[in-house]
Amino acid sequence: MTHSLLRTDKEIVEIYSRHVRTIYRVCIAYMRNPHDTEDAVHDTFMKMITSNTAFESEEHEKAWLIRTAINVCKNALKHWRRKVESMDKMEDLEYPGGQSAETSGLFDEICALPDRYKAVVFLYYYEGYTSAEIAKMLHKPQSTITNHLSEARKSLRKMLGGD
Amino acid sequence: MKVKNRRIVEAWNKTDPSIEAERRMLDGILADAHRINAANRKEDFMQKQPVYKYRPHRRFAAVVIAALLMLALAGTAFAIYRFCMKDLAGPTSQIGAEEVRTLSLNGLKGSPEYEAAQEWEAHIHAWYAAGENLAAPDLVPDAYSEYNAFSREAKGTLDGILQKYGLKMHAAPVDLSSLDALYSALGVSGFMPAAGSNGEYPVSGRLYEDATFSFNSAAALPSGVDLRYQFYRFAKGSLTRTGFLIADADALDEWTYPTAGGVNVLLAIGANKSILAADLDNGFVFINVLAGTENGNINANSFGAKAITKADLEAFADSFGFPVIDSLAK
Repeated sequence: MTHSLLRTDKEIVEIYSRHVRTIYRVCIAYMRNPHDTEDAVHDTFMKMITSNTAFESEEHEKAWLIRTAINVCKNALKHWRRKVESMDKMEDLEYPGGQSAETSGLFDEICALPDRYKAVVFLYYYEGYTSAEIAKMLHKPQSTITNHLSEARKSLRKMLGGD
Repeated sequence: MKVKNRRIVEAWNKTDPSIEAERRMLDGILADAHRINAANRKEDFMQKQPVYKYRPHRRFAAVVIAALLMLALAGTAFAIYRFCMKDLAGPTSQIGAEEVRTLSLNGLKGSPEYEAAQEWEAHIHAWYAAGENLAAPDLVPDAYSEYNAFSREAKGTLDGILQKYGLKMHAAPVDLSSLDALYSALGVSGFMPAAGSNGEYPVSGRLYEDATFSFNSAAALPSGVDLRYQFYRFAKGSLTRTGFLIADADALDEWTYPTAGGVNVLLAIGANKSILAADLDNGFVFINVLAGTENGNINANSFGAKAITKADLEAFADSFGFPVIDSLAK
C-alpha cells in the first residue's frame, strides 16, 4: 500500500485555490444550502487527496473534480434523509456580491431543475464546455447531453415565461 | 439560444462563497488531510506486518497442519508484531559533546500526538538556542506555561500546532502522591501492580483532565524483585509535553508480548533500562523501567534495584490492567 497523501499542503492549497469556486458552484446547485454545499466541497477535495489520481493537466484536474463533485452531491442526496430547505429561506447564503431579484430568481429556477440537467447547464452555459466535452467529462453519450440541454432550456423557458 | 447565457453566468457568480467560507473549507480540508496522513502512516506500517487470514474452506488436513504449526510456535505465534522501537524514535539530542538518541513517549511515529510533540519540541529547542521565549517579569502562569510557552509568539505557535493536528491542550494537572490517590481520582482501582519498595524516592504523579497521567512508582514482581518505573498514559487527542527519553533503540532487545489480559505490548530490555509500550484504542502507554539485564539501572546505589530478566519484564507487563487503563476517563 502506498501513502494516500502524496500532496504537500502547498500543493493542496494551490489546487484548492484554482478550483474551489467552480466546485462550490456545482455543489450549491445540488445541495441548495451553504452548509451542505461546504460539506460537499470538503468531501470532493478529500476524495482528490485520498485518491492518488495523477492529473495530466489543470483541465484534467478540473474535469475530475467537477465529475467527483457531482457524484458526491448525488450520493449525499440519495443517502441522506435530507430536509431540503427552501431557497426562499436562504438568507444565510453568502453572496458577496449580493443577488438582484432577477439573478436570484434565475438561480432558483436552475436549482429547481432535475438533478440530471443541473451539471449540464452549468458546464455548458457557465464553464463554456461544448456538448462533446461534457459528454466526455461525465462519461455519457453526446446525444444524452444534447437532449439534457434541450430539456433544460425548455424548462427554464417555461419557468421564466418564454424568455 | 433563447435563455441568456449572461444571466446564467451572473446568477451563478452571485453564489460564490465568501472569503471566510473559502478559508473555513480549506482549514477543514487541510486538517483532515493531516489526520488521514497520520492514520495512513500508521496503517501502512501495520499492513507490512504478517496478517493471519481466516480461510473457512481449507481442507481438514490443512487445518490440522496449521493447528500443529501454531502449537509448535506457541511461544511466538501470539506475539503478533505490531510496532517496534524505531516507531518511537525521537530526534537526536546534543548533550555536551555527545549526540544521543532519544525515544518519543507520546505515541507512534505518524500519530498526531507524536508529530505535534516533535514539532513543538523543535520550536522550544530553537527558541532556547536563540534566547527567545523567556518569561516576562509579570508573567501569570496559565495553561500555556505547562508547555513552556511563555511569549506571545510561542503561544500562537502552540495554538497553530494544536489546530494543525486536531489536538487539545491540557488544563492544569492534579499532583498525586500515592497509588490510592490515583485510584481515588479516577474512580477505578487495581489496574496498576502492587507497589514495591520505592527506595528513598517518593511516589509521585500528575493527572490531567482526560485521564492522561504520569506515575513514578515501584512494582513488586513475583520473583521478589522490586522494580522502579515511570509510567505514562497519554489520552489520544491531547498534546502532552514530556520531552524525550534518552535511549538508543538499537541497544535494546525488543519483542511483542501478549499480556495475560489479552493486550499486545512491546517490550524492550537493555543493560540498564527497559521499556514497555502499548498502543491502545484510546491512549498510548509508555513505561520507562529503571532496570536492565546487567546492573539493575543507571544508578543502582540510588534506586536499589536488581538486574531483571525478560521473564521479569513479561511478569511486570502482566501486572497492569491494560483494558481498564484504555477505558479510563476522569
